[in-house]
Amino acid sequence: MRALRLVIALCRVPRLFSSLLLFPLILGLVVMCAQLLVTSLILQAGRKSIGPVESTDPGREKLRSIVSNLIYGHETPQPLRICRWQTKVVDGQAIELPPDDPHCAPDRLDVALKVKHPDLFDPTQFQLILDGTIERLHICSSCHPDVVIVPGTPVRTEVSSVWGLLVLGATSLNPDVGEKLKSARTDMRRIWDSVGSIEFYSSGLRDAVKIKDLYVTSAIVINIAGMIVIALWLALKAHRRVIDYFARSGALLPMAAGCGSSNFYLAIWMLTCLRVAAFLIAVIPLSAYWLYDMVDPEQLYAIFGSDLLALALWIAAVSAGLGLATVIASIGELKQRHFLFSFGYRYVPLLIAGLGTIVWMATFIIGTPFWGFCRNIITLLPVLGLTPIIIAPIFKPSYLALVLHSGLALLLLLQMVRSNARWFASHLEEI
Amino acid sequence: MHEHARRQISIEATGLSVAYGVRPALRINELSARGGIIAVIGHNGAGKSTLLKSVLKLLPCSAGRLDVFAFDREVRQRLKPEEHMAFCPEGGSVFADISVESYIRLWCRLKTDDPNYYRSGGRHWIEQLELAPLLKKLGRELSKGQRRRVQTAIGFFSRPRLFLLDEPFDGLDVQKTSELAEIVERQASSTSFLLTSHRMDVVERLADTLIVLRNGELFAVGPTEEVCRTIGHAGAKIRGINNIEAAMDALKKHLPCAVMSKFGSEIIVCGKIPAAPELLSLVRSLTNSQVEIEEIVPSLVDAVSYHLKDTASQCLAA
Repeated sequence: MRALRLVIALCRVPRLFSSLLLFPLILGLVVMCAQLLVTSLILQAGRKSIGPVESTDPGREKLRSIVSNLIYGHETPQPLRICRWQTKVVDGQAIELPPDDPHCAPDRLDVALKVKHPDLFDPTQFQLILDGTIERLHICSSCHPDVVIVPGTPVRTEVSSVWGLLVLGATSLNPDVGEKLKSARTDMRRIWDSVGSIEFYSSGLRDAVKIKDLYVTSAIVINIAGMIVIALWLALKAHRRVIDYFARSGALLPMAAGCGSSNFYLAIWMLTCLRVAAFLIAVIPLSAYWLYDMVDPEQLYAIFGSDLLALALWIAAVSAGLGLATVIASIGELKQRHFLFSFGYRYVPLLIAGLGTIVWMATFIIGTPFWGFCRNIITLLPVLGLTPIIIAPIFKPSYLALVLHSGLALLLLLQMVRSNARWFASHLEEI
Repeated sequence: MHEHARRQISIEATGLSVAYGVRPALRINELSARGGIIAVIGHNGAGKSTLLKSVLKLLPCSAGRLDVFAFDREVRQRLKPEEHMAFCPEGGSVFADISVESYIRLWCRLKTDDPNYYRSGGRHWIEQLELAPLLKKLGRELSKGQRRRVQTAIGFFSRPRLFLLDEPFDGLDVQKTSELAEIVERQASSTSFLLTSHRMDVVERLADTLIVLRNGELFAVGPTEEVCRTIGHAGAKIRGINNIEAAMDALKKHLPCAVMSKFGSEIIVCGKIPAAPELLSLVRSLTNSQVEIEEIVPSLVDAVSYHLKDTASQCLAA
């Protein structure tokens, strides 16, 4: 009760409320939104490469018209005009001039081919690339638009403005290339369609890995795991930050004494839980909305909804496993805090998990049942089997491995916190 | 005279051991200190602050026990930090990014349920510790002394049975020291105090009981005068010396373990010194003058100076 009173009293001070709750909450939300945005972009890119061919063209055409509008002021570029410059004698001086054609009036957003003898140079290869995106190609020896290509071995291109970069970038939107891409994608699609759904079987896995769903599944898995990581980060790292905040002001000891040390530390945990709860309440509807918007509900159901037990076990295993890794990193750093490279200790679980990942991946090379068994052993070991646990919805390990990983990680987590409580206490006394 | 009016507490420890990690910081086999104002003294790193934190249960005891009892009509009552104690750390405390007023309101809400208590019941302390001009300031704008005044006022709001003050006079000028000492003395009728300090003149004036710590262990405990005798051994006042400077130089050579100070035309000697007749003949032989010697109880300042010198030489020898 006294702890709750302290939490309420702290939250009622506006500045403390923003320092302890609001600011980290906003930070967590921003990180989560950024993660969702990046995943959406990755998902969209993935859809382009494996989705229906027609769906990719309007985007490319739209981009081409936007770029053309920016450079030339109209949506469709005129066909490429070759403007070959000539040397004329004016007032006794040899001067290189553009052709008399008014369409060849030089502009800084044109492209030039800088050659020694403009009248002899064959521009066919450049014509093929630039036609459809660029309106004028000058062949000259001394002109200076923003993009100047110097043919030779090797070819060199001089760009003298940001707009020049845009002009050069427009060449990648060449309609001819677009057609070839479309054709390549059609062939690719035909190959994909001809092999049907690709299912990868390996001993030790509960079910086949659906290769075609890999893109969507990994995006969702990474997001959910990311959410758990941020929640854990808010919980553990923020817990220490809150205490540091009190310690820096000198208020830690009087408050802990005034409220009773157990009440005070309980209040800090309550504040931390409040932070995590607020983060999850804000993020879960956002992520659910994003999932339904980005992913086909049937596909989503096929990945998660069809096996709710696996989903529950996965969330439990990921939470326990990541929680343990965070605690190990935190306590490791805390115990060695006087050592110059103490920050290195926070990467110890990451290193162990990395090692586990390498061995786990190696077990796929030899597909015998023995190696399948070894794979399951790695998966059930806390920290070492963190990667196979995070990607468990893709590479489906046995239920037993998920249960054992959750149980062992939870036991170790509790043991770590219990046996290292004094390290937290001694830390508090030193700051 | 005032001792009887003071509210007494008793600090009792048996087989106490407190450690930071694996490094022990305090080891006390047996302690029983009773008084109204108890001062914990000792050299830097002796374990004074650790003892205070252990009393407040902020540091867990790795062995033994430490309890504080109050005596109301000689009935013992165990004191709980969160209910009966207030604490002001050495550096004071106020959150850096909130105003002093917000911080005080937070404490008022916690301790009295009334966020405006500082304007009613606690107003006296705001005035007494001159906090009114500080109320609108942010914590980061306060000096160490001002932060300590804020926390002291907050401590008094809850009418504690025991107030723990860690180095309360450190960095205060003469006037502020005297004012705070007066407040402590005045409040001693309703609140007991446990304080640590290096200001021996103030401690001698205030404390009725002393706890002396040395290298994390209990060295002496008891009433102030008794402790002065224990740690200062013996004291003598030497009068009638013609050349004081020369006499002091000569005495220092013969009594390397003693502490000497000049007070007008007198020399005050404290520490392991010969008995009065031997000391008299020694001084007479060194100064060739008819001096007089008076045996005295060493003052706390002298006794602690001697104790620290003794401690330092022992440490050096070790």
